[in-house]
Amino acid sequence: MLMAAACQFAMAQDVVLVVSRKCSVSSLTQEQVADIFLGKTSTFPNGASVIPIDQQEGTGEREAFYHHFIGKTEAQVRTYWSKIVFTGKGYPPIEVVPPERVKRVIRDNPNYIGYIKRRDVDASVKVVVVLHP
Amino acid sequence: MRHASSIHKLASRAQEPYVLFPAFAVLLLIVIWVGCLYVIRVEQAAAEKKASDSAIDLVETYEAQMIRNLGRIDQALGTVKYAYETSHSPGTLTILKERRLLPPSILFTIAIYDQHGNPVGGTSAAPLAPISGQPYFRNHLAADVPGPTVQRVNLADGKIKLLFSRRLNGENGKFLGVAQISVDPAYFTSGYEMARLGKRGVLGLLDKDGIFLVRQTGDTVSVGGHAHPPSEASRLEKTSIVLETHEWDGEQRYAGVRPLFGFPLSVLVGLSKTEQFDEFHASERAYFYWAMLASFILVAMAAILSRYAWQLSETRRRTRKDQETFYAASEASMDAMFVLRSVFDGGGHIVDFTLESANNRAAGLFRIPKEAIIGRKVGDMLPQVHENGIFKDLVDVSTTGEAREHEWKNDLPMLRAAWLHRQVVAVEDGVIVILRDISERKRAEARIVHMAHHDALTGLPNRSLLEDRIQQAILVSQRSGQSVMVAFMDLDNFKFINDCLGHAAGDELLKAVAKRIQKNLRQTDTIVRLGGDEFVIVLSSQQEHSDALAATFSKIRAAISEPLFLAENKIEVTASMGVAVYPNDGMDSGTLLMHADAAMYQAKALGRNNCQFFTPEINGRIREKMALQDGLRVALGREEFTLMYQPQVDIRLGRIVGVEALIRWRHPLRGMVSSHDFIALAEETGLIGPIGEWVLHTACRQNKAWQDAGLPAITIAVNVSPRQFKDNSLLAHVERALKETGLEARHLCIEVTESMLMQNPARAIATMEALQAMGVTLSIDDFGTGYSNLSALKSFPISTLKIDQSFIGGLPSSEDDCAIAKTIIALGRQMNMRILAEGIETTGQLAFLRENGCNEGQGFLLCPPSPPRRLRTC
Repeated sequence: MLMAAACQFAMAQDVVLVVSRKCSVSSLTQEQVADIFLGKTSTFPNGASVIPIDQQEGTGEREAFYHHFIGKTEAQVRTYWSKIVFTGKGYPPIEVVPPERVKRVIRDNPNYIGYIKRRDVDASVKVVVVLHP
Repeated sequence: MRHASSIHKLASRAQEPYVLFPAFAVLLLIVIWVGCLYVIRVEQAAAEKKASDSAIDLVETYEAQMIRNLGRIDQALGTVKYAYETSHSPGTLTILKERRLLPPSILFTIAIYDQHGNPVGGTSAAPLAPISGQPYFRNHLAADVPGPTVQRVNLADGKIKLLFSRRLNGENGKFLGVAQISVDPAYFTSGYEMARLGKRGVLGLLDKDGIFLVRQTGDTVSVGGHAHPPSEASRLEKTSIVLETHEWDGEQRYAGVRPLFGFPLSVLVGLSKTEQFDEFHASERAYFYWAMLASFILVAMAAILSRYAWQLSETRRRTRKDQETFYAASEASMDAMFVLRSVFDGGGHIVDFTLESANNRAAGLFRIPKEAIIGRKVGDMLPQVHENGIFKDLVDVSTTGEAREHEWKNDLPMLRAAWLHRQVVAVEDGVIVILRDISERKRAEARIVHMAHHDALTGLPNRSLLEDRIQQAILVSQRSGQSVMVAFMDLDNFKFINDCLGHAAGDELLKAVAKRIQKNLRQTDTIVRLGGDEFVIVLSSQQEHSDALAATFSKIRAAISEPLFLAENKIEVTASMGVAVYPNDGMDSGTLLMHADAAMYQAKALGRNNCQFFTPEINGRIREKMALQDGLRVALGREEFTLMYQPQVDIRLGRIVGVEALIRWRHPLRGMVSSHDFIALAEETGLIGPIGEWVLHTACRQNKAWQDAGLPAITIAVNVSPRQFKDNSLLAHVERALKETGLEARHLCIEVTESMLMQNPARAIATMEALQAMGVTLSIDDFGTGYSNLSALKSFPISTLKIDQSFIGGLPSSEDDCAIAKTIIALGRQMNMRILAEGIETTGQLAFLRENGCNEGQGFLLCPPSPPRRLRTC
């Protein structure tokens, strides 16, 4: 049932989380996703190191992702990173421009995790199922 | 001295717990509050220091953060500058960004502008506007300053950015353009932590003029406001914190500023005093609260404890006072007081008592010092208590709790007393015994009993023992079949002797008589003094022979009548005795006494100085006498008296010169009773008073009646008895009689006997003079029969001498009588008194008298006593 709910959740969104096919991770909780993208953890649950990939500010994918998966607006995200970066406690995810490159970057590195438009998903990447809590 | 003692008293009072507790409490209160205030002071200083230290810490942390950030910005700018100056490529930024050599785009917007101010490239998606008009562009165009410049720019969309820029140089230092990094000023205060800076703290970046490029307080980020910029030199010095009020928001803060190396900037951090001291103030309040609570509790406790202590002290004082009172009372007591504590055996039974304490009198009873008896056991000291029941008494009281008392003749050799009274009272764990030596009381009681039963003067038993003795004698005689004699004895003329020689002599007489009689009595006999001169003698175990009896009494009478010498006076006493014999004359003491008394009366009647044995006739005679007495009492009321009048005649002239009033009694049963019989009785009973008064009245009235009837005035002579004469009211009676009848006093003559006058001459003279003063005349009756003192006779205001009829009777034959009569007549004539001869019965007597100068006379010959009617004819 949970799977169904998660799938439903995933399917409702425009963007999906993707990782390399070489990556063993296939599902993450929303919390884990948030931890990764907010710099709170640098590893996957299985211990492998993870590097989150952001799209450029202003892109719809970014806005949708942060809205749906992190639950923050851009301004809130900026404020969050402002303190962390200022105090030297962390670094935001790498920006990859343009959106098409994201897939390519992720495909090659099993440590990357990023988000693309659902319709852009192809066999080169694997969709990560996000479990809604 | 008083000072010292009052100080001493104060000092000891001060040591009482109820004084110490409050004092201690006050002390503690002071300690608590001083401590509290001190701790608060300390905490305040600590809070200040903490605030200050925190501020320092925060300033230095912020300084470090700023340095790092600025450094990174500077580094990035430098990289961009180098890359572009090297490559002149518009894609420089993209490449640099890909190489991760640029700060995060989310926060920093990096752009390159050419020498005309047109954008070459940027990291943000937003389009870039030319900057040719910007002052900083123009500055860079103008000069090549070594480090980055910083300024605030207002963007077209109203946002404010802080812009760091550097000049780009081409070959030969040709102006190539500007590279810049712009960032939201709020970035630089995004490190503001509420936890450390509070809501009212301040974190800010100052430009070289001291104007805030960015300032954050709580959640609010603002621009502007002025603070004093630090000096360059202070960069290498310790941070100093200053308490200042910030003019941009009026908050008082602990603030510190530090200049940033390499940049024309300084950082300012401030902590709100109010906020920093919040905790302190809360703590301060808490301290006060606890101090107040503690104070309150302390005061309450001190009050309670003090009160308890005071109560305890009061109780102690009261107990001590009670003890002192008890001690004083017991020491002052006339009784011996012992406090005994029970001594128990294993089974809880009392086997002995320990003497816990005793007062001084107690020790006195033992005649040994107190210390010697305290602590000893009663059973050891007085072992007899187990035998005589005292020990049992003590145990009973101790167990039942009821008090007991007992009087007993002392049988405890250790105690020196004849009789003791003990009171035993139960107390806790023992008894209190109060002993009183009642030997004296017992002796006094015995004395009183003796005194009650014995006559004080003679030592003989008195009336109270009489019946008892008679009973005892009867009992004894019953057994032996013999008789008991009860004799009433009365001394004749004791009164006379008492009056003549005085009461002291009379007492001596009684004592002597008592002793004499006692000498003649046996052990089994009793003599009792009834009172006055009356005695009762009880002789037990007597033979019935009257001879023997009579002999006994003769002996007694002889003993009594032996002459006595009292104060050089030779006295001879005689006694009248009446005897009753058990069982003949009575079976009980009452009857015997009554009959003995009657017999005595008989003896007196028979002339005294004799002993009469009771006979039934005596009784009769006594009864008769009693009856006569009774009759006499009512005779006056029944008008049974009459007066007869015997004329007194002038024998020469044959004329009546007076009458003598003579009383007669017409007894309803006996008929006429002669005055000789009942006057004596009247004297005895005191009835003579009213009878005499009646006689006076009647006589005066009669005489007045005769005068009123026209008869020639004569004197009426009235006899008065010795008792009347002695009575004070005689004069009043005479006066009243004269007044009421209207008779003139000179027509009344009062006749007194010689012996009456001689009893108390002085008094007699006074009475007679008083009568004379009234106008009444006086005559002496029965002259010659008494013991007259002739000189006294001189002073009596007498008008008439009446020669007693005993002398007249012998005339003219008896020579002695003649001589006496003649003498009296002569005496009377010499003394100018009238002479009246009494009892003239023969003519020979009459002739003699007439011849010898006696003028008046009365007698049967002349006229017998007659009723008033008859007299008229005489």
